[in-house]
Amino acid sequence: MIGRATRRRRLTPYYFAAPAVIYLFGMWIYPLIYSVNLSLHQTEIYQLMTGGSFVGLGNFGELFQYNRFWNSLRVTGILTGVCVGTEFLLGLGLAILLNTAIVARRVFRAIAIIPLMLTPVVLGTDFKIMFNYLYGVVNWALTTVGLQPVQWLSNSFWAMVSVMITEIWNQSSFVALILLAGLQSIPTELYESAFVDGANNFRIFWSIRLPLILPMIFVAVFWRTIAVFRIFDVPYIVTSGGPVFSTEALSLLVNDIGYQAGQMGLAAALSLIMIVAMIAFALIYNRFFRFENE
Amino acid sequence: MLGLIVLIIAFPVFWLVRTAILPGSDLALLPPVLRFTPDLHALRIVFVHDQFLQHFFNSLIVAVSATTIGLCVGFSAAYGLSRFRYHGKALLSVLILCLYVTPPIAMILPLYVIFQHVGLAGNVGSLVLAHSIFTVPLSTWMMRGFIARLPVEMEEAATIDGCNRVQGIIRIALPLLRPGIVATMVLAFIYSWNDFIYAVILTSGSDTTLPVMIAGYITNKATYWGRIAAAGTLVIAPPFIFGFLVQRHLAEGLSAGAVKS
Amino acid sequence: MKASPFAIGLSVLLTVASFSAFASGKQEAPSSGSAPRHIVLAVFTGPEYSNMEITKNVFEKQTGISITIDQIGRSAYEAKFTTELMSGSHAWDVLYLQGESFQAMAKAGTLHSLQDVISKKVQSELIPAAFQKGYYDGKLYALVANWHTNYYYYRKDLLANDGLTPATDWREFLTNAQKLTGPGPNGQQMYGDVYRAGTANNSIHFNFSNYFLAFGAKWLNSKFQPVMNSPQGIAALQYYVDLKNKYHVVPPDVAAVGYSELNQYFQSGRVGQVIQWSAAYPVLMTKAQSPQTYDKTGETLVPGHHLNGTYVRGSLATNDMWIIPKASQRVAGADAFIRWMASAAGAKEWAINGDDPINSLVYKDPEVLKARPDYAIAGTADQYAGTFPALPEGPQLLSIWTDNLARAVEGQITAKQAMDTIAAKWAVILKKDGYYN
Repeated sequence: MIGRATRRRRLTPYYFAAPAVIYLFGMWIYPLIYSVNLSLHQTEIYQLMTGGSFVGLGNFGELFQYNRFWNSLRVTGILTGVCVGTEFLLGLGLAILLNTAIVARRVFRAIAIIPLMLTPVVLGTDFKIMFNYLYGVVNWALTTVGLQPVQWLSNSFWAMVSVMITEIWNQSSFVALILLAGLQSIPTELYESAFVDGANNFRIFWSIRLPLILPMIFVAVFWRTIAVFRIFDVPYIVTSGGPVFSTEALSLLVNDIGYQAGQMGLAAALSLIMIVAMIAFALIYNRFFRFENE
Repeated sequence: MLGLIVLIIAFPVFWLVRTAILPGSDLALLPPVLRFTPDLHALRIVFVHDQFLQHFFNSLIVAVSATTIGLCVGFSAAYGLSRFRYHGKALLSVLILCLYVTPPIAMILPLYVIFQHVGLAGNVGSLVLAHSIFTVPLSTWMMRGFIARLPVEMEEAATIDGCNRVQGIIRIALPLLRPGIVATMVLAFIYSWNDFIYAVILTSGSDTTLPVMIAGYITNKATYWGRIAAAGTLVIAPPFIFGFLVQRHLAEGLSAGAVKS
Repeated sequence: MKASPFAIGLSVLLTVASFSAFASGKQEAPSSGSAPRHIVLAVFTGPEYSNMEITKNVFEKQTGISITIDQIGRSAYEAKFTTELMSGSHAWDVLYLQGESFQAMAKAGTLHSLQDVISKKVQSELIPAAFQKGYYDGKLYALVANWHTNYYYYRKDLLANDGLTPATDWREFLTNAQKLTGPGPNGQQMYGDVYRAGTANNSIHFNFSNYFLAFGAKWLNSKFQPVMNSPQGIAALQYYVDLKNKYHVVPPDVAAVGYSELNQYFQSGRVGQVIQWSAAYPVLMTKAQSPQTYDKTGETLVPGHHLNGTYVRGSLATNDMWIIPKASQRVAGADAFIRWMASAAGAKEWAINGDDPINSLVYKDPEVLKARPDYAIAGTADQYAGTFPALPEGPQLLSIWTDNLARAVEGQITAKQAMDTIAAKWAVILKKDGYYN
């Protein structure tokens, strides 16, 4: 016989999660069902209301044979790996710098947030102007020091670099902010005693600070990975999928298939593949990098 | 070292401001013109003619609302996920994540239809709810990390002292979590502030947010670089101030974060 | 425990609050009166919007109906109008719809019929080839709002310096381009031409198709069979590819060059010739927007091609349309708008403020001619203009067209391979949809 008090205690955690569950069902389930349904039909854009013919897993099969699908997987993979890795390193460095007592610390912290504040269109346009081959300031700087101008936006390799530079410049502060919050909530006593014991800065960092902010690092890396996997605005504005799809990330392909070429069923199928991939990643990630100290 | 970082951060912004006040025809000139008579035409159009302030306040209302909802719901969910063990916990956390990973492109049409049925279509409220789709998971997963670091003993000690659980949370845990909460708040705010795809589909006319207004400067027949840059420059200012005011709390978190274990 | 009710209460409160706080819906109740007073019109941001801002005042003065304009940015334009039309939203009464999507939207049943809205008298004033574009399945669903085509813009001074004349065919165009390419007065590289080679929003199509049509090629024959891989079609693409990869007379970054960059490169003096839309006329030929080059720029028809002993001309035209969404609740007002826009009165305003209506009377109106000096050649240019096949499958066909063209320019496939692939893929789609067997 479970007493009333025990039962209430068992149910308490659910009450804490109740708001989230309400939103979940309200906002997400119907669009998901709609997308799944759409992905099982061959639906052209003019058939959205009447519905297309049922093709089962045909859309998925078509995707797996589509070279642009594999291309965008490759592009997205490279973008995610390089951007997240670089943002982590730069973010960590920035967080450490901001954490130390320096002159005008406050102002500097505010400056570090500025890149995050630019809306994607502004960000993309700004970098697009800077990277232009004929009149961009970057090429002008290169030629002034005697180097050759680079086709930042029209060469498959450099277009990727341009997109990555834009995204990294924009989001490193995101990582820095999280890590900084982590560093700042480390109680000072923990390393004060280490100082007294004669440890140098590097040891303190490695043995004390780093392990303590590990959860934050996991969160930041996780979040950025998901975000870059879904990236749309930056490549869309800066290179629009690059010279012949060399910067076409998955989200751009979804948009192109769906709203440009009008193949709504195919686009829905691709979206589902993306969702499944991200969830799989989340599950695997959670298995290896626990968020709680359990 | 510091100077280099400031330069890297500041240069694209400097270029942005320059583009905002550059006479349009000078944009493509090489070498880049540094001496020119500033042309405030673009700024004037953005501010006066295109009702910059209107869209700015729309963005602000939406971002503040979405952040608040995200924080409240997210904090409760994160607390529940962090502090308790119960069945379905893994499933719940994954489901919460699913909210975020769905590509907006796939969601906009069905979401719009839902909002139409509810009578919210075209309303700023629909945008707030749509943004909650990412602020809630963002807050949840962000706060989980911070809450997990906080030893449970703290709140349990408070319970012994006579508070109930909620009071324990409010009096002990929240102040300690302040840096985390502030960080989450800033990030959720930025997400909502910068969102484009939901804003453009779910709102129209004078209800739209800043990103939509700015994206409108890329047209079929022309790209109004100057106006984009002008709007971008005007946009940076308030979040800059917001971040400036807020990071004081980040600093205070340092002293408040002292935990006597 | 007091925590649980608190948590429930909080969550309920939040949910209720968020829904009730935004209870005031945006969509107004439909007007019950019979006299139309107000409509909502959705249009692209940009020059069309600026035009409408002025034109709507004249409309209101002449008909008493006021217009609220809703701007749609280019970036999410397709997503936006698709969502609005497909969901049966009655937020808009008139929509400026891009021509490429008209057939698809009509087939989906999202458009209101315009049959009997425009009087026979006015219909006789409209350019027939353009007016026909508004028909789907035998009924009228749209009024062509803009009938744009391309011109050949060139630097009079640069050509004169080298003893050249504006090209009348593509061989001359290439010779001119080669002579113009080289180091310029301030040491920067100058180019004889610049074009678009990107795939974003089908960018390459809107430039290359001029060359394509002007070479005498076409997309479909009268039986709806794809014929873009005819000798002249392949020759056109080969020519385009060679301009970049063989003769290097265009900047190497053409894959990243869009409509705007085309203008920028030309108006900053780096390029000597360009095939560009008529809408660029006020940009390239006015002092306000091109102070460095406006007085040195000339414009004429797109070069033609000597084909089998004859001389052919061509250029790409687009036709964006005014449509009335089927779910509109102010059809009377929307009809009045269409009627006015088709007539000389509305067309005149639309023309004076920068766009190209299809009412031919407008092209003879002295006031209009004074405001639009580019109309001097518009009438002639329009004769040779052709459009991309108008079919519901249009967007998909266009996507295939664009993708393979871009690959050819990038050098990944040959011109012949590109055209053959396009023809083959189009054949699959057209056959499947029953256009031919």
